[in-house]
Amino acid sequence: MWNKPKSHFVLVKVHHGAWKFTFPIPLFIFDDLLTSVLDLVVLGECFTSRLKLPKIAIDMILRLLFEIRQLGRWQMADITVCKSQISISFY
Amino acid sequence: MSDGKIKILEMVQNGTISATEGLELLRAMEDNDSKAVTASQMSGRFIRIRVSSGQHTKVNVNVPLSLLKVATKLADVGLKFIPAEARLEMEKKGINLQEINFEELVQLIDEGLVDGKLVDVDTEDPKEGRTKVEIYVE
Repeated sequence: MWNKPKSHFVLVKVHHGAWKFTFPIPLFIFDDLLTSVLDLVVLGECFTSRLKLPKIAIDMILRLLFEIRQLGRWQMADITVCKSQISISFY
Repeated sequence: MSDGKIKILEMVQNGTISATEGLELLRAMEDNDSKAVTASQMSGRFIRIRVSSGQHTKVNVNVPLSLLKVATKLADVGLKFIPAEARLEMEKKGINLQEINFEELVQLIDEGLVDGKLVDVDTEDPKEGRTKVEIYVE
């Protein structure tokens, strides 16, 4: 649906003892980067046939990213080992 | 009309099966079709991995099934990147990754044929305490 919430950021939270970091990484960075690389690979394919496999891989990763964005808000991982904690969520 | 339904109608026409039997087969096929639709609607399902070891380690990983479906296609591409030597080494030990049909596995989970707990391991270690591993579909 057009009003279905989409995720725009991957939020990586790292707690280690008293230290606490939060990295919000915009998903469009990966999207744009991979699209640009895919364009270059398609161009490179005119000169060599070695780029067929990377092209498929990038295309698949882009599809994976698209699926992630469609899912909306969700937590992928929450790992706690002793006093350290890492959590990866999508917002 | 699907090929299966046409075949059933042809069997009725040829006299291989009776009209009543044909009707029953068609109904069974329609039931299967409706089940497939409801299974495809289960896009909000997750594979949840829970590991707790002692009092210090806790792992909580959630993977959406829709993501897993795309990832299985990526797995086929990923397998091509495994060096030939490593692949041979694994084949010697009886592990052939290309024989594993990841798509079928995910499809079975998605259709609800493999439901509930996939893995449930509970062990007690005097040093590390209780370790519990759970993988389930929700």
